[in-house]
Amino acid sequence: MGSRIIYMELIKVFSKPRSYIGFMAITVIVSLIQLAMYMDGLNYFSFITGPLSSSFSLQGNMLSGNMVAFVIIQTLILQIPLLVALVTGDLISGESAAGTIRLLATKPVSRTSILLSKFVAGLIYTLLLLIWLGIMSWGLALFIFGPGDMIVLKSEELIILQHQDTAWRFFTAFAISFVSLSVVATFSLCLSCFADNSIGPIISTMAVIILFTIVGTLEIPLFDVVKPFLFTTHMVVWRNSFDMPVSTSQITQSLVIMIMHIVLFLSVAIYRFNKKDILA
Amino acid sequence: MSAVVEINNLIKDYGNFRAVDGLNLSIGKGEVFGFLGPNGAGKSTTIRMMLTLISPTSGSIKFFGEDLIHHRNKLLAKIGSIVEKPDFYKFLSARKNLELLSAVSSGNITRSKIDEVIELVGLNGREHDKVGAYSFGMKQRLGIAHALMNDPELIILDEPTTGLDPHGIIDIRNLITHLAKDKGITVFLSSHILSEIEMIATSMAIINKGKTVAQGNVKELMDAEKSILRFTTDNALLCKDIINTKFKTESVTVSDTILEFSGKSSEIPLLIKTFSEQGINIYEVNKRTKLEDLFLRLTEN
Repeated sequence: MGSRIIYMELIKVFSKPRSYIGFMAITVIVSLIQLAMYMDGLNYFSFITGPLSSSFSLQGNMLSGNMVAFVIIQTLILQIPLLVALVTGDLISGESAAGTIRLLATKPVSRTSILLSKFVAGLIYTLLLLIWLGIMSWGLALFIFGPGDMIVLKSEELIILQHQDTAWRFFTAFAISFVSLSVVATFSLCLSCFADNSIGPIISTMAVIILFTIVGTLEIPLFDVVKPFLFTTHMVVWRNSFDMPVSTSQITQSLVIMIMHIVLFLSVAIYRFNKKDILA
Repeated sequence: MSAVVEINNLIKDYGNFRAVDGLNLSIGKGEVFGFLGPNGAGKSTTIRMMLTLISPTSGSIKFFGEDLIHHRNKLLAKIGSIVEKPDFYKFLSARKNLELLSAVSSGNITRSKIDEVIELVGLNGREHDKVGAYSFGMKQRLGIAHALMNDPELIILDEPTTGLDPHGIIDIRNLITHLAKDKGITVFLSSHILSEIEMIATSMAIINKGKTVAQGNVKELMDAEKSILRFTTDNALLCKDIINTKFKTESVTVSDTILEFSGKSSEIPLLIKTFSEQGINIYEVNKRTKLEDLFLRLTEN
């Protein structure tokens, strides 16, 4: 029965217009950035690499597909969680608001099974959104700008990656991003179990991400204590895929912490959903 | 044989407010059970507990002799229900709703079974329309189709005729009677429409402030209450005299060929016999429902 319930949840997710907002937003935003890069990308990179010109002589195809894709992904990293929460924050609360939660909760299926099927459907949606981001950013950029080496500018170093060394790094970055976005998906699903409308969980998810990001950015000793425990601290670890050499221990540590967050949020969601009096 | 539904000392508290207060019910197989009570009496709370939407504070609910908490999935597989409003996924068609919900229902619900229930409730031809475009009455019909699609042994219906037109009400009433009489399905029917309960229920309970104030066979409960009996005769004045003298009933009103007075249903045969012996022709006998009176008396204050 498990696969049938997941199928049912996927049909519901993809029958709702709101589920396509994320795909449309990515399409529009990425297309605009690609267009802007095509029209004026060289000036943009000259501006970024300007301070380096006195020390380095940069030659070749600066505006490579890899480089453009990296810029796009870095730009969109704050928006994608909102697009994920838009759907996953609605999975339980949307059913409560519509009254359809009664249909599910009176069926001979445990509430845990219902919640887990929604969790899996949420992860599948997140994965598809991420794949679409990959196609639109990396795939389209390679098609428009062609392959080439890429430069990664970090605060203390400049990394130049050869084209043949980039593909596995992008795949790794997308895989890590999937885990990061799964944390957001599970968190909003968890909040969804506490609400009877979907606005609350979606806004609350974004508020928490913004708050944690601010706490993670500010260099205040008090915050340094909590930073390692905030999931937002680890959500940006996908960038480490473009390090030279790649710090696998740091990536692994962040992945473990994010997976622990997923387990924690999912456990709270299951507990809450099982205890919830359905009054809608 | 154990009862299909057995509720013992059921209690539900919301903070300091006791919504259901030691409710006891017992319903046998094939009965159409009317569940009556004023707004806020605890009807919906009871139904929600019966369907595991909310947890009881204490007490037990048994279906088919088995405890609901310990055999939840097994028992819910035998139950079809409508709880309050018939809410469905508005962005999907009626047929798609039923197909999807069959994934979480018991047994193998085939396409032909879905066709059958759609036809049964009169939604054929409109089953591919999105539910968002449905009227309340159509949603109610879809709710009944949904409740029937898993071939339940017990159906719990909360106000199933709300929003239906007169044809729809009669259809659903006939359907309930058919399900109980011909298929042996037990029907738990919560309704505000007293005449509906009087017409189709075989047993009933009236609850007030979370407690059962009356329960039993509908006919017996009604017979215990005095009804307004109405006779159409060719000699109403003589009838009045007979009633006053032989039956010691004073409050008899006469209007042309019709006389009305307060009496019990069980007295009707004797009255007809007495009038006939006096040469009076009886053209029509009616009993005006007194369920309203019974309901009001038991639920006042």
